[in-house]
Amino acid sequence: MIDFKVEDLGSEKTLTINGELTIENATALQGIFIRSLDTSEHLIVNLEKASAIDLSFLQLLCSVHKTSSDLKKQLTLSVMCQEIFRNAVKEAGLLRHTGCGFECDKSCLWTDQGKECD
Amino acid sequence: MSNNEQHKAAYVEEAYELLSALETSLLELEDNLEDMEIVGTIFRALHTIKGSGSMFGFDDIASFTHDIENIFDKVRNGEMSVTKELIDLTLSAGDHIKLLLDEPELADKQMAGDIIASLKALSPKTIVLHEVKTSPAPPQSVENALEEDVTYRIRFRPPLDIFIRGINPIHLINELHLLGDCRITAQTDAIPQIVDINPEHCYTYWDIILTTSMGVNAIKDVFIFIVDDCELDIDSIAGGNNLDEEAIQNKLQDVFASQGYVSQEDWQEISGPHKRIGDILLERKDISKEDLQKSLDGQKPIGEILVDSGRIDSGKVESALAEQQHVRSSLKKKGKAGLSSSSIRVSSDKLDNLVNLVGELVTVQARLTQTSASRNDPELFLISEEVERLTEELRDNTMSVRMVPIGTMYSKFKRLVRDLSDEMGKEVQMSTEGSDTELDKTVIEKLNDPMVHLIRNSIDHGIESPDVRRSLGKPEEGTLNLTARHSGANVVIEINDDGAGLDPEAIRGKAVEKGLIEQNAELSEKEIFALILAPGFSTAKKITSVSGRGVGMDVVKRNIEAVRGSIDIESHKGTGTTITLSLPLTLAIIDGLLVKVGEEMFVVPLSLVKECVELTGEDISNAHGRQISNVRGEIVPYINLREKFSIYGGKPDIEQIVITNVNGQRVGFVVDHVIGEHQTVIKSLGRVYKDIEGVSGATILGDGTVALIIDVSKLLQSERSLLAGNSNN
Repeated sequence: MIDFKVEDLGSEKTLTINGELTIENATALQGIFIRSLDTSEHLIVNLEKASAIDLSFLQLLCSVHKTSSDLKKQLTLSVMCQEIFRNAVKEAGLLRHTGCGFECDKSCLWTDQGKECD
Repeated sequence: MSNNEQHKAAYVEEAYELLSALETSLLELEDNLEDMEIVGTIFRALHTIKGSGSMFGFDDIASFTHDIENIFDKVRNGEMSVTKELIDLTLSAGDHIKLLLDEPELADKQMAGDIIASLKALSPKTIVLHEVKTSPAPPQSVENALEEDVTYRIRFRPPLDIFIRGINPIHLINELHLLGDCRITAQTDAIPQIVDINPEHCYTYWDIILTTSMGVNAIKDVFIFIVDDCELDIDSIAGGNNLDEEAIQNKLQDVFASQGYVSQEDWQEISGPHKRIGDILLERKDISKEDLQKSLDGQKPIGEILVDSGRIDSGKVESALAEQQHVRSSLKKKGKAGLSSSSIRVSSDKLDNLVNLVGELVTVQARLTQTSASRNDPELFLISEEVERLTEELRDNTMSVRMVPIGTMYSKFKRLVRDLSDEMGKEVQMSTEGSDTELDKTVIEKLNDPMVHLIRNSIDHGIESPDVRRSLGKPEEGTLNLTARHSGANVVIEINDDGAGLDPEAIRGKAVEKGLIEQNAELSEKEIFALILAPGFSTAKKITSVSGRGVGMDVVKRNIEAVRGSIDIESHKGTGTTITLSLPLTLAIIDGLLVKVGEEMFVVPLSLVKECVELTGEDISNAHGRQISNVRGEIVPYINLREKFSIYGGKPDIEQIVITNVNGQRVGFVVDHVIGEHQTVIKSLGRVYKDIEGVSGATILGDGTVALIIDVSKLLQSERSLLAGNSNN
């Protein structure tokens, strides 16, 4: 089960997603991302209350990031030191030293995940 | 023994070693809770116990250890933190595995279940992505294992529908971690835009650098269920034959450096010991040579240049970086390993047999030396000398093979101290010194029980409880130091505590009460302390499960003396006790002093001999019938071996006193002649003569005659008992 909430602050939107961010809910999550990105210049994704995260969700995040970079929009993750998120990123081998080639503002999702909570 | 039985025996032996290493690591972890390297060591030990156990049919061990391993996997992955409770439970788990190895029929299944349940209770709820069917635990067949580590570059691109098939690719990758040191880099360049992505497809693929000795088949086995539908490229990039190139490089470097053509540092600069990022990317065909060259014009690091120029995805650079770092660290580890000497496992029976044969050889060599001396043949004499030299070298080398560092024993004691201090509510810090000091394997084995008893005594009777220590102005935490060092042909081990020390008055009172000494006996402090080694002596106010039953210290003394060692006690009331054990380096062949009484030959262990002095008729008459001699103003009592062993015949005008030092006391042995040093191969006397007091064994001399080896401390003890008996009568 997932539930989500969108807080609209003008051009900036905060999308808070709670619950199991896993393959079972992947299609629904894709729809949420598409709609949220369509209507905002800066999308903040808050995952602090996620209870499970799997690779399918991490792929979706990466995909949203690519799209937002293409559209010159901004995507920010708000996960603070969420252990589930950090572990999922680490286990998937996604931790990066350098950002990917798609990013225009050095905002790669995976570069700081290990550092910020150390 | 069949092959299978041999493998099983090898497993049991290895498992004991691993359990010992596990215990040591757990105790180290207790002091360094955050040290993930120790966690890794623990995990690997558990993994090997489980994996090999399963392979050789120790199913109970495999399944029990599997659960513990899972817990430590979580610790390793940062899902669980290390706590004292976790360490306690894992130590208990180690004990249970030992029991499963020793006496599986006695193993308590309920207890095993409790340990696992308690460990699982410590574990946070597992994050389960979804139920997936993964491949079985990686096989560890002996056939697959390579002699050395090989580093593989693996690219794994799962089928797009892998999620739909119910398989989590992350689980497969985690299986690779079990094979060896592994670096994973996920590649995300194939992930489409959010509107195009099929969220149930897997677009991610992985570059993995794995160093393992398990062989390529073990890697393939991990992917066995999807091998036909996935892209799986496995290339060996370092190790095995590839390392020959490295060896050649090193050789060249040595040659250039030795000829002064180039310094070692410059060579490193020129040769660049590891592949550069660009080389790796070219090799992988991730970039063309032209694109690489263009990018090299920039000043930034090559990885950054390539990503910025859009010629390559950052994931590829990340993966190449991981490969470079991984290979570099593997080579560094390999270099370190190369510095230590290689080793092989040999059964101790074979070693014992070898020592026996060397003993026989030493005996025959003595005979050859004697024969060559009696015949005036210079050629034979030269050969004999050569054989003597070689035999001596062979003897020393063989004995050194049996030498084991005392540190192997120390680690067990650390656990003992930890458990005992917990049990008794005391705080004890144990420190050790000289763990590299080596002793014969047999001596180490026989030393275990006495040492355990002495440590128990120190904690039970010596070190006070924290509140008592506080009231005495001592630190709440008591200290227990174990020190080992070489001292001539002996190893000296000291067990020192800063506890209450011995109370000479209490010991004296108890000894009088027990009838061990007369009320008015005049004893030095050392002699009073030695009374605690008497059978049945105990001053403990109450008997605890730890010590104080009064059956301990005499057994300690007996055990130490059984390995021809001695024990010395030094104590100061209120400040602590030091117990010093002096032990021979080996029990098989010793250096002895050969002496003659009438026609009989005896050997006195040379390590105990301090000096030899003459005993004239005048000295004897000056002593007025007492067996004492004045040696440079010091009165030294002696035992006359002629009288002791009832040897008839005339004695020489001037006899010799061989003065020894036993437990800090000088005692002489009167003999007719001192022949000289002798390499003494110790032979047991057999069942019939085993109870003869004062003789610890025999040796065969070059001419085939038998010489008895004097058990100095036993002889002294029996003489004392005899004197005490006479004075009572």
